[in-house]
Amino acid sequence: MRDRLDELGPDTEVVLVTFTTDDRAERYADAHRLPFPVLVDESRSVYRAYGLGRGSMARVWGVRAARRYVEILRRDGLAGLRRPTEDTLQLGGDFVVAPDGTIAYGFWGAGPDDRPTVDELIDAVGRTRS
Amino acid sequence: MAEHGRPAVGMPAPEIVLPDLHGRTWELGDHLGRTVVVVFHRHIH
Repeated sequence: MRDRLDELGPDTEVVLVTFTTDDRAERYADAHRLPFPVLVDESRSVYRAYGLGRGSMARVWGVRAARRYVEILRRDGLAGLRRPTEDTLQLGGDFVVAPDGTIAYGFWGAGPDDRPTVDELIDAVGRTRS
Repeated sequence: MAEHGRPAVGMPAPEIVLPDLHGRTWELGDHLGRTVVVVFHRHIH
């Protein structure tokens, strides 16, 4: 998304909402050079308002996650593993809010890697202008 | 509201009033007239 912001067209904004602490969010935003606002929702009240709950252990810590950890172990050994400090079951999502304040598009992630493609989001943004 | 407490497409978006990393308050309602993409992140490793 960061690399394709210009494809969203004029009069479009992007914000990222996270439930991590300010410090961690700032480090993340700096590391990834995010060019859009990062909003902090530690209480997750906005996550709940948008219907974003917690996933099941089986879904979040499933085969794909296990494969990823095996890859890390092979590459970096135990030193590569970091203990999660946040709620790893919290699910993410993506929304497009039209200029009239209504939801034009909503995607509720069902697992860690379940996100819409950037093309889907760009299409959804385009439809708010048609 | 649609199923599972999800806001339905076509309905007003729930308000967002949250601090940004510069200590300013960001409100969705201030951005009417523009399209806003809201990305909810999962946890940060």
